[in-house]
Amino acid sequence: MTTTWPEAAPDAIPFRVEGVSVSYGSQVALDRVDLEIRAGEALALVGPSGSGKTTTLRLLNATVEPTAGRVLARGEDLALVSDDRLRQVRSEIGVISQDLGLVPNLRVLQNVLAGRLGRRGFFASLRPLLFPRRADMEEVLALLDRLGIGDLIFQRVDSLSGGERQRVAIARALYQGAKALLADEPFSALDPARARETIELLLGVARENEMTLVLSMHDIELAREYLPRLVGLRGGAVAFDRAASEVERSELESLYRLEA
Amino acid sequence: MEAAQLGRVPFPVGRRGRVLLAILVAAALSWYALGLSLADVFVAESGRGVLARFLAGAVHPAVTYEAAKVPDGTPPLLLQVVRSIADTIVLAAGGMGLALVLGFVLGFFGASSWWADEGGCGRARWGRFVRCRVLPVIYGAVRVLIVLMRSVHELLWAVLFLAAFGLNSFGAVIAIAIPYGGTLAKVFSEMLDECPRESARSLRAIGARPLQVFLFGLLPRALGDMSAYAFYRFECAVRSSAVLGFFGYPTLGYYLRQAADNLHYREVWTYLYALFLVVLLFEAWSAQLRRRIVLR
Repeated sequence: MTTTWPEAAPDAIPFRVEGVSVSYGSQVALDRVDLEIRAGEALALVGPSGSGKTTTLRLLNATVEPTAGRVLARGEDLALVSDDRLRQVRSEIGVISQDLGLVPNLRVLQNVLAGRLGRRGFFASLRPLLFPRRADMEEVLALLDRLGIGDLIFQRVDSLSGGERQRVAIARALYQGAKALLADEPFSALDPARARETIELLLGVARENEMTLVLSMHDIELAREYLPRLVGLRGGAVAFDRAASEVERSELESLYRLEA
Repeated sequence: MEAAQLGRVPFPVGRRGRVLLAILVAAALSWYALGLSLADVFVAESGRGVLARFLAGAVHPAVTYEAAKVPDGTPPLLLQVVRSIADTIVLAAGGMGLALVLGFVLGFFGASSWWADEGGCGRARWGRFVRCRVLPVIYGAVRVLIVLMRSVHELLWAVLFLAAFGLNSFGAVIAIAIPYGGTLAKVFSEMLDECPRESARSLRAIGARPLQVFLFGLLPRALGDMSAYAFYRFECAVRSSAVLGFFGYPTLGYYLRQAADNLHYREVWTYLYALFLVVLLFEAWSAQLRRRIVLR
């Protein structure tokens, strides 16, 4: 099954990665990577551990800075914008990291409300988190209901299952009003059936809300089945970048072949 | 790895083990330097009677005054004990409350994770100045202040404030608040810096500011440990407050010293048992609290 994707998503964020290298000390994580991501597009970064998937994702919201080259979001070079502008850009990009990054000892409600921290000043953010207004709570509840976890709104996150936490993280990105969603290995902790359920959920949510969706994943079969475009990374470089239907099995195999 | 490379087995006691060993060695050396010998354990002839009477008191703590005659209007002994315990706890709570405020404020400025993790100094000129000049300086100054507050024991502060304010409860309260505030600040700042960072990182990634990251990403994760530790310090403060009575503040130590000075050892034991009971209650309470807020 290949998902049909709307061509025009005017609000979604387009990204462009131009000749970017990233090194951590002497270790090269990415080596001259070029990547064009259209607004509202969905793609998966695939490749073995250490191939640079996470680094690529983190470039897109400038939580990793390129050693060389540049990264543009909506045409703006993220290395040149002001701190405030960077916060603004980040507040439009939802993140589902491998560890989900939720606050385990806060309730689901607070975790979702925290999605808008980047859009509010310090004092303006205190009230909705400490004493949420009824309207805010209703908005969160509606989101959670759509994701099927409405009755968990007052549960602490550390009492939830892995799948439920995943949905809380998605709800946070939705409440954030994200125009792009970066998800790092969101399915690695889930069993195959739940992984399918979650990928469908993510795709649906991204399409409905006109988000650009960039996923990184291990499971190539799943990626090929659900995502229109695959970018294969190996050793910090792009091995292939094309429509999922055109990716050859041999290319996938060579991606994961161990080096002699 | 080749079998031949296995020649040198690393000694299983690492650096942490060596620290403990070093303390034991230091103890042995200082015993030698102090000229301690087992002969000192035997009490001198003259002291034996006192010791025997003191220990005998443990079996028969007093329930009424030992003195044949007490001044008119003196409350019964057990009521006196209860009142002294209450005064001890009140003083401890007064000092601890102030210490908690100091510990929280200084612990916040003595922690670095909420600003140093931002990565670099930032791009705005003002932000650069604050993050790379002001905050590190405040951080350093606060760390020094914390050490100063802790390095003087509450009894020494009490002596100092006794001279300055006279026998005023305010002196006793700040005598406790200063060193306790310092200790709380040190431990709070470490808890804030050592708690897991992934929540903070993810909030930063969606545009949260340093203070928001602190409040919603770091503080909730450290709060359980912080409150359990504060409660433990409260228990310590009760003991400190009791001892401050030796300087004349009307806490348990005051009456305990009076009884000891009059050689009423059975009364001394009554006060000791009362203190023991209070500490035990606090212990049970804090253990229960800890189970509820930290280990859940």
